[in-house]
Amino acid sequence: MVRLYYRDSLWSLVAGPTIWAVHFLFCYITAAIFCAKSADPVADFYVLKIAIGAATLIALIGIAVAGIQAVDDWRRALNAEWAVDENSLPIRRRFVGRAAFLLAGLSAVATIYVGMTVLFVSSCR
Amino acid sequence: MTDNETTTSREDREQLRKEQEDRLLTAWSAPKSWRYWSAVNNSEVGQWYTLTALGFLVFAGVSALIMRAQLAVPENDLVSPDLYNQLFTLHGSVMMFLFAVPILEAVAILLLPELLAARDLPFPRLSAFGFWCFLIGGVFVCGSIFFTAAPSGGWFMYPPLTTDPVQSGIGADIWLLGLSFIEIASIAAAVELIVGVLKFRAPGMRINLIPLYAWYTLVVGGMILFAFPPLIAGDILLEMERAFDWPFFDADRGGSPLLWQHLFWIFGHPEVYIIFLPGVALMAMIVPTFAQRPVVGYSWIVLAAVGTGFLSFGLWVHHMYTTGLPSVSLGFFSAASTAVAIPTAVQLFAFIATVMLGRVVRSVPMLFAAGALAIFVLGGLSGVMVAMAPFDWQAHDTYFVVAHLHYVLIGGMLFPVIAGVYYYFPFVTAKALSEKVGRIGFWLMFVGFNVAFLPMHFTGLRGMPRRVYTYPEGLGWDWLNLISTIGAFTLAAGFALIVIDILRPKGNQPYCERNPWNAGTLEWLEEMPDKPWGVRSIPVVKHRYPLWKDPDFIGKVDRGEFYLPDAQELRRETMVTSVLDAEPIQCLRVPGPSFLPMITAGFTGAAFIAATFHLYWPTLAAGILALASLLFWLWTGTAEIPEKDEKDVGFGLSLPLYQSGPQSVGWWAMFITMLGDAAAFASLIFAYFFYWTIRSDFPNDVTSEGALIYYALGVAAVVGTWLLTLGARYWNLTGAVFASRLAMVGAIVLALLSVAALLAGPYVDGLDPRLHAYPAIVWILALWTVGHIGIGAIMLAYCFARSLAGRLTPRYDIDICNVTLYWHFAAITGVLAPMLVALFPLAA
Repeated sequence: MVRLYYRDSLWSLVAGPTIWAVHFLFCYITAAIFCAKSADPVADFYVLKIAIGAATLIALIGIAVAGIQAVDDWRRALNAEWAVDENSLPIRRRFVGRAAFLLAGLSAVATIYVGMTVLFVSSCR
Repeated sequence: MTDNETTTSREDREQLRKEQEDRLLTAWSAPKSWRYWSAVNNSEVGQWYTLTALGFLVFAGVSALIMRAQLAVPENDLVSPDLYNQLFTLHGSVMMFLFAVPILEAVAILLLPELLAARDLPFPRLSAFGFWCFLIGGVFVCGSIFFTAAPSGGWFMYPPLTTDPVQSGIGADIWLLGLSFIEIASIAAAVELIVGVLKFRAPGMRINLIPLYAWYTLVVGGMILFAFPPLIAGDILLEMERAFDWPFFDADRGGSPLLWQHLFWIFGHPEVYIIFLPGVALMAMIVPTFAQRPVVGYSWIVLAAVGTGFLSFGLWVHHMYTTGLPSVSLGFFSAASTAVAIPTAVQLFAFIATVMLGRVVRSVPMLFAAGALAIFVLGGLSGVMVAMAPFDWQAHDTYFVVAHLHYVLIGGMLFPVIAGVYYYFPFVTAKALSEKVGRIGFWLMFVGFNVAFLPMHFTGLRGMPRRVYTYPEGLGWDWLNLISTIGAFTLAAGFALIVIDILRPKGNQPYCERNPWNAGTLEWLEEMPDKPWGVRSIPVVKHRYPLWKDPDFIGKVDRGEFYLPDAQELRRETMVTSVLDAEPIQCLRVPGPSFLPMITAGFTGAAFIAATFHLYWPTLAAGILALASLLFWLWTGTAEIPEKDEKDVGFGLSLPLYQSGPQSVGWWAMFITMLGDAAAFASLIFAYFFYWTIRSDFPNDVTSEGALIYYALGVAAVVGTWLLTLGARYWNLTGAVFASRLAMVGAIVLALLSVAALLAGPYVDGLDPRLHAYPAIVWILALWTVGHIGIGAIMLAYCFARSLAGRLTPRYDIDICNVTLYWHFAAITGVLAPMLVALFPLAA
């Protein structure tokens, strides 16, 4: 499978939350610019909804990829034969994989929360 | 082997051990008499830092008691309205900036090296510098109230109140400059702690084995790095408006007071978690010890720490629900505010699970930890309430919010800190605090706290606004306020008991036994009383709780059976290891005692203080002296060329004494500092676009052709400087020293040209920063950019001089490597900022 980053790095840990952060910033900035600059924010609100919906979808796909990679790291390390000692490479990889997976999960939930806003709020005012 | 021989060899070993210990003592002992204040070791600096922060806590606590006394009855006239304003402003500011953040940095400076089995932090003199900055700035800010010149605009200093010089007086300047100075110290500490966690772990301590405290420290360091710079950017803008009338926050002249609220709360909300997470970190050390078992859900807690660190940056607008932002924007922040409850709860459940699965030993630290949990959960629940925008519209700026934030901060921070004080007191002084006093103190504090703050929820819902110095009778607030005041004094009585217990002389009291709580983590390796070397030999770590896993671990460390048991050259040495797996990569010599950090901090402080009183010549003079002492400090104390390439650290392992580039700690410190710098730059860019979204008259001018040419020249010169800097590093590395020096000189010349060109841009356009926010922000971006280029030029000149002096050579090239790294960031600033200010007005 295609790797976005080298397995042995702390980037895998922060991949999920970073995607959340980018998605969050995108939502905030897009909404701010839309509400300030749109000629008719009431009629055109659906444009913002589509933009944020699409961004949420893309972000979730990204988080899913990060999560799947993390599970892959975690499982592979679990199967390593010499994964007995707490102080061994496979155990460390398993930890990073598991923590990265948990963080991807949290990021997915938080991304859905933020994206869901446009289902309930349809106003710039 | 005869008995005789055994005795001899044992005597030999004893003899060797004694000699090793003598040498370690010589290297690590704190200086005596008046020179004691030149100490830079983490134990001394950590203790000064902690005590100073506790002193500021007492100061801010007393100001709270005066306020409570004033509010005890309606129509009270104990203090004047103006003094009341100063009291609540100082109470909030001091608690946040001079107690909550510094105490946790202080504790981390004190604990972190021992937790990781390192002998010191990577940059001891930087810690000392941070401490002296903190002390000077803190005394300056607090002292102002004795001249009734304290800031009085609330701890968040909202303009337009604070931009009006008549209404706010000099207090706002004291706040802006005094606290900016301390924020710089906080960032310095953050850099120190991040590099410490990443690079100073004992060999074998892989990323999955580090104590949870270190994980939290890493996360909090990262948060400080991205949270404080927006505030510093805001401080610059606000002080420019106050001192030079640049209208950043003046709605009449194209500015917006809301910009300050954004910048302040982009800092202010992560700040809450910057305060809370280190509190949880202390609990993460205390709970397993008293449950006598490893913490449950280590990776879940790491998830919580990292997750909270990120999510906390998406909450800032929940302080601004009532400012009229689009409701869809409020929705995003409301969503993130509720999401952050998830990781927060995860760590609390992990602690509860640890307690349930362990055999709990009753003790004062556990009592405070339990109290913290109860209080914090209540604060968290009222937090979910105010995260809902419609509820917040009702509760905003009432005592409900006062109650909520004190539940969060006292439960999340003060109680864990006191738990930590009881837990770590033997670690610092080798003496224990009184169990009995601790229990009485706890119950007074716990009951007092709830009596003081629980009623405030109701006072708030009954409509009492924050920050009023008095209230009329008969509104239903009278008895609630009286109860709050009684509670506040009960809380203070409990706290005073504990302070007395901390300060009482303990000369006759016996020392604690070693590892008094039977903990499993490395900081409890230390002897009672403590030896100055931190750790007798640097162990190989294979478990999260090595002291539990290996009963003879302490013995092995003591007998010097691990790395670096000796200091043959009488130097302070510790080990640098790799980020993920803690493989040894360097034997680092850290600097010893010096007055230079104190002197540099003194001059820096003088510059800030003189600027407060608008004495610009003394400011300039002090600034130049600060720069000179900084350069002298760097020249004499850093990037030292060792007498040999490698050193035997034990077990036949030889490690280099000098590393440059990404292997060196200096490179990491530069990288991390520049991330913070980039965050400040991004905040200024944010300000630019913020004006554009909310003001139709922004930009109110179009870049002229003449200015475009200057901007283009400036950008070209910046890129040229950057390329020549890269060349200087490359040629130096390949031995072409002359070419390298030539490139440095060329880079300096180009840098100066770019400064001239980038200032000429706005100048030929005739932009007057006092007329409108647009020219003001353009000038700020220009000044920010040329300031960075100027600093980069000084750095290049420093490298040039080092090269001439033979201190920067093809083999020993830390200086030019770090300066090149600086220039990567400076070049990004130097290209982006001019392009933005030149091209955006044409596009808009």
